[in-house]
Amino acid sequence: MTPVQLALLQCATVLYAVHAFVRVRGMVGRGRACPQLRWGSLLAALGLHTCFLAARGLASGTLPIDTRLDSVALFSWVAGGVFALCERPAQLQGIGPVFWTAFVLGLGVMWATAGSEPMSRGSLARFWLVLHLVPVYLGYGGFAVAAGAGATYLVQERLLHHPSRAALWRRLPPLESLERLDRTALTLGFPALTVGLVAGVLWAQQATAPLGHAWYADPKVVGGLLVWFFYAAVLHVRLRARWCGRRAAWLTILGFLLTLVSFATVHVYTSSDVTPDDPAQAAADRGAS
Amino acid sequence: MTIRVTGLNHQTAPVQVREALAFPKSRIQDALAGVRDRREVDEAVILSTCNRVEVYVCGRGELDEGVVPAFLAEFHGVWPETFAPHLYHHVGAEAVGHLFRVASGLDSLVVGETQITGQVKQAYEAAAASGASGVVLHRLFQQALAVAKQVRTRTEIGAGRASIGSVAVELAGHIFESLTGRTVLVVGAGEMGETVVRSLHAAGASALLVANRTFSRAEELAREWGGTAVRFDRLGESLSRADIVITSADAPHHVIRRADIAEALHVRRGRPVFVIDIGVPRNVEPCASEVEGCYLYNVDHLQAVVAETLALRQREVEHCMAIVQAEVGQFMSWLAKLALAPTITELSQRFHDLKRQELALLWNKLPDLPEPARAEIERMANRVVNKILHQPIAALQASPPEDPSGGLLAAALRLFGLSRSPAAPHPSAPPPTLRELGK
Repeated sequence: MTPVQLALLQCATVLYAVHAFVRVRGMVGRGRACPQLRWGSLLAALGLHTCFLAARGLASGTLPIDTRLDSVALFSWVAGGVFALCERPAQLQGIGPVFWTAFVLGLGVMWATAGSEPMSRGSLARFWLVLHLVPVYLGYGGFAVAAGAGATYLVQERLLHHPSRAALWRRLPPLESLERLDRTALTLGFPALTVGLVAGVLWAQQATAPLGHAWYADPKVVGGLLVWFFYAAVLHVRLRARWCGRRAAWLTILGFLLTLVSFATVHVYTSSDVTPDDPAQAAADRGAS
Repeated sequence: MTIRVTGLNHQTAPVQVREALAFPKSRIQDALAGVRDRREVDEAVILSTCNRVEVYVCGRGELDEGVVPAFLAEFHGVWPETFAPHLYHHVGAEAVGHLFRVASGLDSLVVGETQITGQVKQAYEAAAASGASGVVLHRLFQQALAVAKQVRTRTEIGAGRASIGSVAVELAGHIFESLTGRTVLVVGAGEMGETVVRSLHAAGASALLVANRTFSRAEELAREWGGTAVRFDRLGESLSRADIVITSADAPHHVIRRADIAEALHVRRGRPVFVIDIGVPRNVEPCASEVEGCYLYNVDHLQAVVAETLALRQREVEHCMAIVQAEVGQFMSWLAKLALAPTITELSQRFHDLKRQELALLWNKLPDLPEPARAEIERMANRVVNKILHQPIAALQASPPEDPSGGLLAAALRLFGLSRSPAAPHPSAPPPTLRELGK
């Protein structure tokens, strides 16, 4: 990773922080926040972020997933992009301050822990990775939006029980809109995660079979499946048992925390994603050793 | 050139005085013609609402304070003594600032209300239609409307709602995505309940259920409000159908208990219910708000929101005044330039005439001069005249707006031998009217 590429991502992070600050100030402070700064900082941040991913993608010739920092950048780009599109309707603008603050904090933590050393991957692995990662990240983006909506729901619900705090509840969207956003983001994110996991399992099977490992013993697969089962249960209680309100909001927040923990522990702290370039060669190496 | 406003409002005059001086819409044109008939008045606009009566006049000379009171007394056939103590008078920048404040809702009974902006616009349109407003009041009112818009978009002066009914609608709008098609259950027949029902109905809540201890009274109210009467003993069933419940029953005990709300929410599968309890003593058990999905508000809650809204608006007034002040400065400087316009035109005309005369003499002396040489000389003469004029014109335009007829203008008039401008009327040469200036 060149210093210029790194600088692009650093500038984007600073601009996201500026955007989050402007949004929070607009919510709790007096008067309307300067619209040019508000939209300018977000567009510039997303633009620089896109430039970083494009530069990394061009350098690797495919999706930018060569290093863990790339993975974090791609994941946050999808989550930020999905949210920026979702919050366009006026009724949902109030959710922004909560989401962007969480976004910047999450990005900071992940950035601090993710390394930028390259991970070796073969060309076959690249194909499966793209098929696996694009839907998984879309799913995670959906869950991030759902969690933002859930957190705002809890705040707004509490505020509405204290109507004299009009200056605050006036700036947040209606409860029903938040609940609908939460539900929509979940119902779109879950199928995407399913597709991504199926592709991931198929890839893991191919990659681990020659090594003599069981694919289901891979911590990444276990982590992914855990998240999948949790969201399957959340969707079940939401759609079948019609859970709504506070309980449903807490579930989506818990689900996203679980996703983050799974993402951080499995993708950042374990080295299991260093799949050999050529499984057959690796098996031969093992035999030789 | 003077702008003056004379009027009275809810703060200075009781309603009897205001209604005695109010101008009905049908007589506005006659009234405008009446003010214009006064010798000193060139332009006029009359703003007449339920809370204020104001007459804005503009004249090329000094406008006496008694002009408008005399007109009001004559037009309405009342003694000036009956209303004179209630009048306020503002002249020049103060009058301009007053109009900007009025148009922005800063001078209204409920600070930040928007109705007044529309009324100012109507008053101006009526004056423009009858030809009573000219170039100055046209610009003044256009700018006042622009200031009102700026104040509204750049500050929080219009934030929130400021009546019980509209606060109820606002709260409902933060629970439900839309009020269209929502079912409202009204328990009891209190007057304030009716206000809230009307506000919710206007916001789109269409289905109305009316419950009252006396069923015939419920039927009567349902007919009046276009709803359906329901029996009081079947309140529980109606409760589960209603998204919004308004209680204003005259009952000594709680009409709706926590268990009723919990049961209704169970049937509604958690869909929220918005309850407004206007009854005194309260009709709904206060602990019902602990049930998840129940948003219960009483009169004190709603009044607290109104108070918070008004306090917020009051805090914003200072920021609005800064905008108003800046705009007043801008308008006064435009007005000063308007007063200078004839002098500058005459000055420029004088020098260009001189140039033309001298060039004509030169062409006579040098008849064989080729065309390209003539054109070049003419361009040179133009440059010289423009360069000579540049400094005096710039200095005149930069003179302080509050003193357009001050030392510099007088000096220019003397130095260049110009006629008197309308800003400094000359007894022997009547100045052009403002309408002529605007052409």
